[in-house]
Amino acid sequence: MSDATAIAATDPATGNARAPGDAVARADAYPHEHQFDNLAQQTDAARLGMWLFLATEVLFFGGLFGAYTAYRYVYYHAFAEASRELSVLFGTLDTAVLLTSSLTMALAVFTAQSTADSPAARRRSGRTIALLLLATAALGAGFLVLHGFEYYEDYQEHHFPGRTFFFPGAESGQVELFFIIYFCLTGLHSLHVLIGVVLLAVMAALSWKGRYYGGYHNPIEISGLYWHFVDMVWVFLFPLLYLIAPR
Amino acid sequence: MSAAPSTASQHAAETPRSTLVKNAVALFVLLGITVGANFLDLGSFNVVVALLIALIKAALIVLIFMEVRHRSPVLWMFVAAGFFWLLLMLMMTMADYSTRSALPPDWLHRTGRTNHVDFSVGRPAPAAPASR
Repeated sequence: MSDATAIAATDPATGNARAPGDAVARADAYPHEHQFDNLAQQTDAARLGMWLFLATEVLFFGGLFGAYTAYRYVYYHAFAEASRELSVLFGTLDTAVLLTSSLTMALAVFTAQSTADSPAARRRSGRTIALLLLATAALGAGFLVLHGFEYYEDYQEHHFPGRTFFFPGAESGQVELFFIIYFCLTGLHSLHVLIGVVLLAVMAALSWKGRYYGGYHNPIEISGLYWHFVDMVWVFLFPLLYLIAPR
Repeated sequence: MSAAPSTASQHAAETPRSTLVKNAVALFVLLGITVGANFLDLGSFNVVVALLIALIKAALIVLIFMEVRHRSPVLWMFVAAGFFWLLLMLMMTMADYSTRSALPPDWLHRTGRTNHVDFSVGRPAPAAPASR
């Protein structure tokens, strides 16, 4: 009651001065978790925590990027030859699909952020958010299907490392090393896309009935951060794997 | 919605929809440029151009789609830290690999202190030198 109506200059619980944009000062109705002073602090903590996780993800992918960088330097010519074997058309389509999915994801976050706190508005927006999230997940699934076709083509062209691998010339082993790194990098990335597709499908189900609105949209935003991160990893994989040598 | 004059119903998104759409268009234009540049022979600069465009695309995604430009300095530091450690790792890896050829392959043998250790392990085979 006191939170929603009388806005004190300082927070009675902590004695801290309130910022103008403070969630309590804006009289938000959504209850925050008990360990936080207010919803704004809870939101900031969630963002910070997610970015901490994403920093570990940067290093998780970083190990493979490091292996790529070192061997690209040592086997410079072989990696250029190997890169030419990949299909730029597939790579461009992959990138376009993921960039589009990032837009639908950002629009879902936008819709959640700008939804007014009324039952009708929340119900209406809930469906929009859910459909945008499903579109994002569908594009992610499309990316995985595209990659499946790509892997199949690689296998048929004897580019899958192992017994069936074949590449003419003296640099066969070095080209095979490129493809080992290629399959590890794209495989790890595709696993992240798969996790994202499941995550977004769950978020779509949760948001359908208007759970998220301008006052509380944290889970949508955090899922969005994950999805955009996965997109960003691909933005670097695409040139490093497909575009290092002129066609 | 009804009682208090300062109701919470006027929620505004931090990034307008038009900015999000423009950002996506910019990303697609950059994708077109990077694919187009792949059909020009720029020698070693093909990689440089491709990575430069990738960096711009990543910055657009982080700043606008992930809304980091609206976030606090603490969050900026967390974002920068992840990439800074990656940079450190790549720099130290390359400090090793890029200086290996500065010494002749038999540098330790020339010192006369060893004649029983094969130091060619881990080096590219002499038959297939890294050609640039």
